[in-house]
Amino acid sequence: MPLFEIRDLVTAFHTTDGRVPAVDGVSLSIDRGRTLGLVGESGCGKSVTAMSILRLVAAPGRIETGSILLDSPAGPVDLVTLPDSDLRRVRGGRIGMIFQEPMTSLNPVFTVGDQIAEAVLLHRACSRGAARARALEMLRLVRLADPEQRLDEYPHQLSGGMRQRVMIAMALACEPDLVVADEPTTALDVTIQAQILDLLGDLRRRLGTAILLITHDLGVVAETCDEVAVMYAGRIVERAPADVLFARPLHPYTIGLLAARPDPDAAGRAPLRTIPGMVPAPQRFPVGCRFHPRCGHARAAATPEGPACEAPAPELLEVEPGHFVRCHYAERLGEPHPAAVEVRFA
Amino acid sequence: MATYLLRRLLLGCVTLVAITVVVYGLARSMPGNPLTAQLGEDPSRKVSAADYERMQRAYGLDRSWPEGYLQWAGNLLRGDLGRSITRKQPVTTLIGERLGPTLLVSGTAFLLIWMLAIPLGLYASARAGTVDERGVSLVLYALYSFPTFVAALLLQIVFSVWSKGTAWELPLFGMTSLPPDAPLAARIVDVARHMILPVVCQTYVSLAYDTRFIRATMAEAVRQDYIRTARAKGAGPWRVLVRHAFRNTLIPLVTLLGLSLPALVGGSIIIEQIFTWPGMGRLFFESIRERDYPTIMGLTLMFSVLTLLGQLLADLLYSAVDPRVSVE
Repeated sequence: MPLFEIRDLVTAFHTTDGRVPAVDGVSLSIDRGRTLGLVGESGCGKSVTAMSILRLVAAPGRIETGSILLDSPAGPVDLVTLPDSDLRRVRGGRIGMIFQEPMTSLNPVFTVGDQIAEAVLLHRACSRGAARARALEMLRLVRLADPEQRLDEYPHQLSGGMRQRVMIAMALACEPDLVVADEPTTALDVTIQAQILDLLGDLRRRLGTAILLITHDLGVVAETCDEVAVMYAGRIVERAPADVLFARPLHPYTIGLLAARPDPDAAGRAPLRTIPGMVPAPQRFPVGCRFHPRCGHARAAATPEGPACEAPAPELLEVEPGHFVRCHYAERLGEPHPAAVEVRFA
Repeated sequence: MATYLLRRLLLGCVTLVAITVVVYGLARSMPGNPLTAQLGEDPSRKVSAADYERMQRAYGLDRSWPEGYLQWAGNLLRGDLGRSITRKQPVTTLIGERLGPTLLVSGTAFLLIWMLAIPLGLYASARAGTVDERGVSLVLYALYSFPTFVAALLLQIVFSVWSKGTAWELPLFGMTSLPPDAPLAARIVDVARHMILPVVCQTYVSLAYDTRFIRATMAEAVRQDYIRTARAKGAGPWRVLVRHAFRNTLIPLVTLLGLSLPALVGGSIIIEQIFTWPGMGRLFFESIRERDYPTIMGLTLMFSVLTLLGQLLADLLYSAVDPRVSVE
């Protein structure tokens, strides 16, 4: 089996407005040492998917069904049903996590060295001195300037990029098999973003760590990922190897996302393309294909032969080896419909 | 650091002058004076007008209050807090006598409060939302709302009146009921038994307040992103709560701690009055009733200094518990 696999995950929030299924049947898998990019707009459920992996979803959120399998020497373990004490060994031990907000994700009252050493001490039987030495080694590995001095500094003495390096050092300190990086560069300057992505890619090659990279930035995905899963309204709508996805996107949403990227060559001359409409709120997911109210195909293909997009919900189909699409018109998507993407002035 | 302390000290002195001027002015402006307050209580002690004049001059009561204040301040600078007019003793001696009994009760209560409030507050935040936590919080809220003077009287009825003659009986009031020549061990037990009710009264309100304070600051701390980070690296629930969340709530807690310093020495006027405990709170109450200006001023000065010191202590502790804060 692959190193890591999510099967039919449903994570819902039980609020006063009723049940809100932020993640509604997500499946994905990652092989050892590979990078999977999970992309989508804000509110599509990608962060809730990330939090579900280590059961960090806060109440009133709850994993309702599905399994999260991590391959282990004694066979795959399901993180959804794993007892708390065993899950703690996975957290930070076999799966490391990097969060979006480096400014607030480090504890303000402990030194950087203490916080990395704590991760080591929680998972390895070693002395405080050895843990500190490991923390220093990690700071060197993430190429933080003056690591000896930084070790005894507090988070508020570091810049955002430096703090994110510390987060990466902490997540990797116990040599996990998988790192879940939830928008690791979103809060950073563009130049720092590139440095952090380079660092993650470099560390993956050197340590053989698999990465689940969650982002809304397709440029980031193109540079770093082996495979890409596109998420929309709590579901995966398209999954393919990165080069295939960028060369032959099939789902109208993916096509829209790719088309919406600004073209630096045409900067200022061509209008930015956007997808009409809004991301639906989980309380009001459309029935059938969740993208159909915004889809040019659904409007253009109101013909008697194909199934209507309003119902039933399409399945994720494999249209070519390794390339999955969730669309009733998956077979016909090869030749892009002229009305599939509308052009709007942004 | 040195300049910071110097600045704080100078500021403190200015504050002290302001407080003492206001309190002295107010005390002297109250109707009556130490002579009338004493004489009024005892109709047998008639004093002739000439004697009254003479006594007023002797105690400096014939002069205006600004003059009186300057004289008091001048004596203070020479290290003299003056003599009590009604008790004929140096103010420092009076305070010295009352400090011990007050510290005994409020010190014990202080230790009890913090030894119970921290575990209770942590327990309440760990079990937030469960039935037992709601039960604990409800009881604490009820206690916090319950007036001390009612609780004191209730405890006196239950443990001194209704329990009379049983093993549960506790002394109604006072600090000791044994003669000073009784054996030391017996006197210690006797004072301890007298202490129980005042200590309980002084403990429960602050305990309820502090526990709710800790629970509220913890509820804020556990929502922070760094708590999620701690959980994500595999820390267990108690480690997350105590090491990561509680360590961050120390910042507001040291403020509370610093502000409780004057109360520790000042005692509680209500409790000491109800239990006739010979402490500072009662001395303060009595000195105001007797218009005993030197004692009022001595106590005011002491409480003001302690309040300012408590604030300074809290600010210094701030920088010790929060690396982002520097006293520079």
